[in-house]
Amino acid sequence: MKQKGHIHPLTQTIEDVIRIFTNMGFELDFGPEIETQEHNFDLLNVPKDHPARDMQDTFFLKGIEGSIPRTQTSAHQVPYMREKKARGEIPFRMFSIGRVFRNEATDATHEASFYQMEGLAVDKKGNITLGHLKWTLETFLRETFGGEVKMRLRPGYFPFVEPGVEVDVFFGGRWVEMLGAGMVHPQVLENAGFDPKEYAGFAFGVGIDRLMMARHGVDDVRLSYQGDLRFVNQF
Amino acid sequence: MLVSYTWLQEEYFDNKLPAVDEVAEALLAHSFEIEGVEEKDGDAVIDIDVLPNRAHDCLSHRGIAREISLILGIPFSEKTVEATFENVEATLRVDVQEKNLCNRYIGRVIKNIEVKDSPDWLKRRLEVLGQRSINALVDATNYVLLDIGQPTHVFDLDKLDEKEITVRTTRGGEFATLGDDKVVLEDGDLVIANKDNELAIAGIKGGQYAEVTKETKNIVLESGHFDPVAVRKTSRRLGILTDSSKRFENEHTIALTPEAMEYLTRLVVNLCGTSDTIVEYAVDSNKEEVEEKKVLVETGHINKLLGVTLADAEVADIFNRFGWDYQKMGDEFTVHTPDERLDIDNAADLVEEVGRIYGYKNVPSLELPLFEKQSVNKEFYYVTKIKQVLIESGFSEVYTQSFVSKGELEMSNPVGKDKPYLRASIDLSEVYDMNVRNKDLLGVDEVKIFEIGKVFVTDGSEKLLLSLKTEKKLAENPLEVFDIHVESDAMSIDLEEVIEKLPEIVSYDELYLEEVEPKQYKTYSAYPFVTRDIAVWLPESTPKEELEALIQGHAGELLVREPRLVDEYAKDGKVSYAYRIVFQSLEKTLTDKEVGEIMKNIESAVAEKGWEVR
Repeated sequence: MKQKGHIHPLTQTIEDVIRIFTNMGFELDFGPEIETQEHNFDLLNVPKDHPARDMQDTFFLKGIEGSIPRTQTSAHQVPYMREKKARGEIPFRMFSIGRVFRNEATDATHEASFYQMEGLAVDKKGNITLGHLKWTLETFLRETFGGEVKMRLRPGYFPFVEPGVEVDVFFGGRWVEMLGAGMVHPQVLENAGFDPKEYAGFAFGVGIDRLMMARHGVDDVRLSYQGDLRFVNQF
Repeated sequence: MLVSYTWLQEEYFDNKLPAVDEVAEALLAHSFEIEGVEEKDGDAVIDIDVLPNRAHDCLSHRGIAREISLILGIPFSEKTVEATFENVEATLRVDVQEKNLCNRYIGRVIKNIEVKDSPDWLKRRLEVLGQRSINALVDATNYVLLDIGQPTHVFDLDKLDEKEITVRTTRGGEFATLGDDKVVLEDGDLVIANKDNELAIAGIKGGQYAEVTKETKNIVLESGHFDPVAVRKTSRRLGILTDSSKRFENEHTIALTPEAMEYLTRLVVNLCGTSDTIVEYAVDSNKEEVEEKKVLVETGHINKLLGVTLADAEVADIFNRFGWDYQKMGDEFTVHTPDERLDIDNAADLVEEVGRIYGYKNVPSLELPLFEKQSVNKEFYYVTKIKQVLIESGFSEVYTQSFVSKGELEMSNPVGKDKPYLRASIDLSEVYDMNVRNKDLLGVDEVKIFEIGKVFVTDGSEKLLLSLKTEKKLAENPLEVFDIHVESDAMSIDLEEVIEKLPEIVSYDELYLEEVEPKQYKTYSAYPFVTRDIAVWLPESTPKEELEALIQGHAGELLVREPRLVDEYAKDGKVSYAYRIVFQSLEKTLTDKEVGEIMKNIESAVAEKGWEVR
């Protein structure tokens, strides 16, 4: 008898997320996992020597100036926007998924490398608003969890969006922080060659591991990266 | 930022604040993330996560009180500390040599004080926030910092060679901080000095040289404004992060510098004053007024970014709640933002202020119009296809760490010293061995695993690899269809090269990304498992399922999975079935004796049926 193998739950979650967003007309584009500091920070309104850099502890590479293992998939925003601008393909919707790296001590809720997803939509001002962002996230969460989901937006701070919001989902009797989002900061639009008087955009970032953990009832983020079939074969 | 509820109430509000949980809830909805609320010694402490955008003005009780007043509509009513004294002519000289690293420095001499213990109210205020009360003089500086967000410092005047304070860079060398610790400063670090003696690392920490003690009689008060980047660089390099350095590196308004000096002076006079106390005039390096800031925003712009339909009057009402002055021309507001709000620079910043006060829960959800389908991501398409084929042929997918002990790209600050490299290959041998050891527990005939992921090479570029490992050489190549040659039991393939040669794809439809109900995870035991085999002769006419059911029925709750048939052969009208049984406890290591007893139970049940154990 031929035994079938098992697919990792992170892959299941990623494939689901990709299905949902491609159906909404978002284009999947992976960026590199090693990025320039310019893409990862400076162009996203996080200047060198600014306290905002502490929000994400960065790994540095020996012998490679200016490049780092990206700390966020947001690093792909500006290069993608510039490419779209150059091709005259506006409006656009994009999303990206992949590993990011943070120099943090690991525990049940923290890994030094994990999966993140980035979403970005840019259009003429007025066509894309915080209200549209809200609808997009509601739709995404409803489809990911397979049913109505209680969601709330509250003020948050990410240097590359303004206004910035944190998005919580009511899960297992309490509010769980699920993602960060906001309207693309005018400085970031400008950095990518878009006039903020004319264009607007929204962006959001989702921790894929956290999403997977909520979907599958997994209580330790580290289980995903141990290569242990006692974990994988349950799914 | 830890904030005392009583402090907020007593210093900033005449009206009674709502219960602490209600205050925390309102802050969460309109301002900041709340890390926790703790009832403590008749007070309540709110742990507020103030992020860099609001660290300019909200790392203080006053900043938080302003937010509470704004969002709950409770009048802000700040109490001031009064003190009676007269100023006499200043004898101190202040020399700021590095004007671009310190754009304001105020010093003041006070003579004939007595350093006492802090009064109970002050001790309580500090201690509830986890701060240690030292003496009234030091406590006064900490109090000013926590109250309005401006760090200040006190030096012992009698320990200075001359009545002069110099703000200059150091030429480096050892510096003894408060409490005997020594740090090494680098050329260019900003210090507060008196002649050749360095008194403090500017904005970060005071030193031993002019440290105040219980015996101190005459003092110099300091209130300065130091460059955020300079403070940040020095404090990070030295690993000295203080309440003071945190305020300076986040930059706050220079308007606080003189205010804090006056505030601290009054507190010191009240707490440490004697009938002989003499207060000199403050010496200010730079009395420039803070420039007024104006930011423009139109109601139409606010509506177009938030997706709301606010009227001009509603926007005006929100600015009124902030207490901000503004001029209105048509739907354009010119808003005069207050000194402390260094974060507000452009229209988008005002959109955020309006949005959060209006309330994000009131922003309607607006459907994103349909958008044409985008080009298909070829890499994702084929990676998914390859995964599907491998799963069908019995492979399970694993993910392993990006950090390894040997690779090509080394990190200068790895998480673990044993794994300083980013992986240059995907080595599955270790996880493979672990899974083979667990084979019986997993109930698989053969361990077959794969991983698809990025690896990193010397020049900083990356590759997408497929690695797989099996126990035996594969009888057939499941990846033939992708033109991938799987020859050995352990191999890696560069998928980018493979995918490039495969046909272009126009739709994801064929991927069959069907929705499946996510399976729920069950914790697995950390204790070893025990394997036992049992072979039983059954009459040909008896189905083996009867034996399976009997084993399962007598194996008890330590049985891990259904018994697995590992051997079967027929002879003389009887069939021998061999089953492998796996036992494991969630709580302990099982002993031979415990497992032996379970096996005995199963064996006697078999005997009762009239079957024969081989």
